[in-house]
Amino acid sequence: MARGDAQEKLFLAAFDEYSGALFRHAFFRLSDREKALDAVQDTFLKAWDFIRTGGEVKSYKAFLYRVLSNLIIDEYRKKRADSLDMLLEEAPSVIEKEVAEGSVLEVELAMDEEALIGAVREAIEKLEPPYRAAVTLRFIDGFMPREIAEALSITENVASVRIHRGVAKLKEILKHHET
Amino acid sequence: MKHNLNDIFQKLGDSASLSSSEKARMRNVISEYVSFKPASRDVARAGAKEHRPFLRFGFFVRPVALVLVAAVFVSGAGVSYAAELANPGDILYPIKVSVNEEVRAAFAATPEKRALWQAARAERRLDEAAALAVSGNLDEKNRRNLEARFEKHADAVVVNTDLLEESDAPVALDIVTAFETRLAAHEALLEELDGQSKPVLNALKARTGRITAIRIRAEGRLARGSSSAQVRLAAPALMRAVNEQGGDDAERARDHEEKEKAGSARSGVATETLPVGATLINNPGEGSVTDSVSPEVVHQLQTAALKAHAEARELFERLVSRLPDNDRGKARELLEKSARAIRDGADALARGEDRDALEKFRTSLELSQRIIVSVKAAIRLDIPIAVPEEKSDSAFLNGVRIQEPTDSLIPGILNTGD
Repeated sequence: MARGDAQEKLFLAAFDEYSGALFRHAFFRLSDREKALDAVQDTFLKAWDFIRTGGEVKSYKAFLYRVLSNLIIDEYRKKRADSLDMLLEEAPSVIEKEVAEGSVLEVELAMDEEALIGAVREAIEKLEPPYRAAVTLRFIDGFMPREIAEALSITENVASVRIHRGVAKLKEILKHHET
Repeated sequence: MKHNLNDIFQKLGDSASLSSSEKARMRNVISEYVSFKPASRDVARAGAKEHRPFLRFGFFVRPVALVLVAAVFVSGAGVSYAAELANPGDILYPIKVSVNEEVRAAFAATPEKRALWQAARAERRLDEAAALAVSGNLDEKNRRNLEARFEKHADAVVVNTDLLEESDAPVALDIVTAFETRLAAHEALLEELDGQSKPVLNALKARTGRITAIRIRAEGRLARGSSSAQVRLAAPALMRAVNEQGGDDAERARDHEEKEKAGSARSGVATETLPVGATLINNPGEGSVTDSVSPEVVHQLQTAALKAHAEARELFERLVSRLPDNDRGKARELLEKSARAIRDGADALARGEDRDALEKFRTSLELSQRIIVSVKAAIRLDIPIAVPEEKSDSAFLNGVRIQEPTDSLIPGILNTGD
């Protein structure tokens, strides 16, 4: 009994700690507040089903993000059978994975900050799902590539490539937005 | 102008946050779910204490043990097992209904167990009707056979939950709510098939009113347990039937069916039109009737909705690879709607709008039952999953529909037994 109670307390503490961040993540991935709320709620229900039947969770954070990501991928699949699988299969090039993020994040645009925030929000929505996931996890959630790899069940190299390409695509979209 | 995207992302992230009320209502749903689906070690210790009628209705898994017992006792294990797949008209069908199912019925020693097993049997008949309708084999003989059996099982559910309601209203309410909404889901499915299944549909509709009556009475008893208000029972004819001992379930059911008809005729109100979701309260001394919603009833329905949603999701995930693409999307859509209704219900509850919460939880429950029935039908019978039109928050299903209580209706019901 005590062990079950402890599990429940841990689980609810995980809800208190991560629900806000998970929601933010879901919101940027789905661009729909209601759907994001559904996804987060379902993430916790699903996670509890796993835990209550004896599933072991080493890190709640990574586990919850993985469950949420799977639910979001389901959502994309529901909408369209796009080139997701093809993108997931892409092989990272050695050059790309060695590119540092630093300078990539500088962007020269004739917009004030407020306009840019709005433009970035729209640009994220235009990214293909795998890049959107990586960029959101890296910059909205503050994950390191290793953590992104864990949350998306991909290798760290692929995670780095997606971040890099995602940012490059984002900047490209922003430039078009400006013109 | 040079910008650092990192700063922009940070500000962007800050702009999207979960409000404290959204977080609170979601926490409420999650913690309810955790309380009613405790960690497995606790479940094992709690044993029979945990009421899980929804899971027990799913006869994909649980009956296996008892059916195996039947197999050992009665005939070769292979025959008994194969008979489980038989439909009316098949050689093995009599083994299924008169041997396998009867052995299991004999093992059901309490009203709760009897009610659950009879509910499952009633559902089996509806599954068989759908299977025969799809294959074009629902002829007159099979139809009559199925109708008679369905009525017998549904009547036995009525009698047993009626008995149970007096001693354990929450469990009775759990069972009838599950059965009622599951029947509505079957009804929606049969409605989509061709005319062959219509007579079976009529038999189904004729029984749902009685189930609804028991549910309302159990809701009343539950409310009375926590309130000083006297709850007037909605179906006195059923009460009388409960008090009569002797005879088997079917005899008692027939008997109380007649009395119920007589009662309805006197009042001019059919029990099929009983309001759903409302607890009828007659305040002592006032003689007036108001409808109110008991927090216990809302709480119980919330739990039922959560359980059914979990069962629907588990079933979907287990069988998703066998579903055609289009049906996957439809089932997911239904699951989302069901999840959303639970959240809306929790939200309404937080605002103190219990009636609205009750409707939302019921909507979710109906949708989850619909997923369970239609996913199985999609796989077994190739019947495409349909997403019901969202006419109103609760009007997702035909059949056992929520009907708002009206002034003219309620006194008619209450006067029935006078």
